[in-house]
Amino acid sequence: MKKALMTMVLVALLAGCTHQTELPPEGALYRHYAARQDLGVAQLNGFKLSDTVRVDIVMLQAENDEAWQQLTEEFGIEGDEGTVSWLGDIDDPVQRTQWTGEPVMRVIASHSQRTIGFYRLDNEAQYDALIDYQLEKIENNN
Amino acid sequence: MDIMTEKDFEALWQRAEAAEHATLLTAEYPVWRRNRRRAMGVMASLVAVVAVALPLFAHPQAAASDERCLVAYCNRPDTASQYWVDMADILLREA
Repeated sequence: MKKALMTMVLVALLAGCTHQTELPPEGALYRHYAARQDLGVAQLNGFKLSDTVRVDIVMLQAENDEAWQQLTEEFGIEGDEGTVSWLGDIDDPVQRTQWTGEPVMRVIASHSQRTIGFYRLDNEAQYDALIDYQLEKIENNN
Repeated sequence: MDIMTEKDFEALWQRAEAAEHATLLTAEYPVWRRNRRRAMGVMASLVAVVAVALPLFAHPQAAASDERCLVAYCNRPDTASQYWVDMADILLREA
């Protein structure tokens, strides 16, 4: 009885730690920038778009104009105001692509926020849910 | 509180029986058993509390957000995950 209890607790403990500390394989983008002192870098796993659909997001936020200038050059972002958006290759979001049903990154870059968001879309349900969510946000804002 | 194992108690019993103190041990046994159960209960509760709390301290930057986001990682420990959730919304609204 005592051994069984201890075993159950240890298994729960190990499972909990693993869940919290291990980034999924698609965390490469986060890891690539996480050490940068001039960037705020975040990964949101399971960002809720609807009751049934969630997506993973990586955010890069420049802390100063120099860092933002570097990011815009790195990702080929033109102009210096407003918001730029594109569908990027899942492994190399700099490369612009089109929706074919294969996994892509929806990339949104905001000059005013000095922030780039990478919304990972693995399937059509996520693609549609992101558009619906975005429309809902825009309507609620007006 | 010292916790006597079954083997220890058996050895004690054998010695007491040889010394003709078995009657005294028979009276003490329920008390010993009750104390032992209490001690084991306290230990089990302690282990359970640690098991629940430790994952939260194991990776403080991966603290679970509200239900709008399951797990948030950030290279800035002082930035709340809610900030990034709001920023994800702002970008979608601006795009």
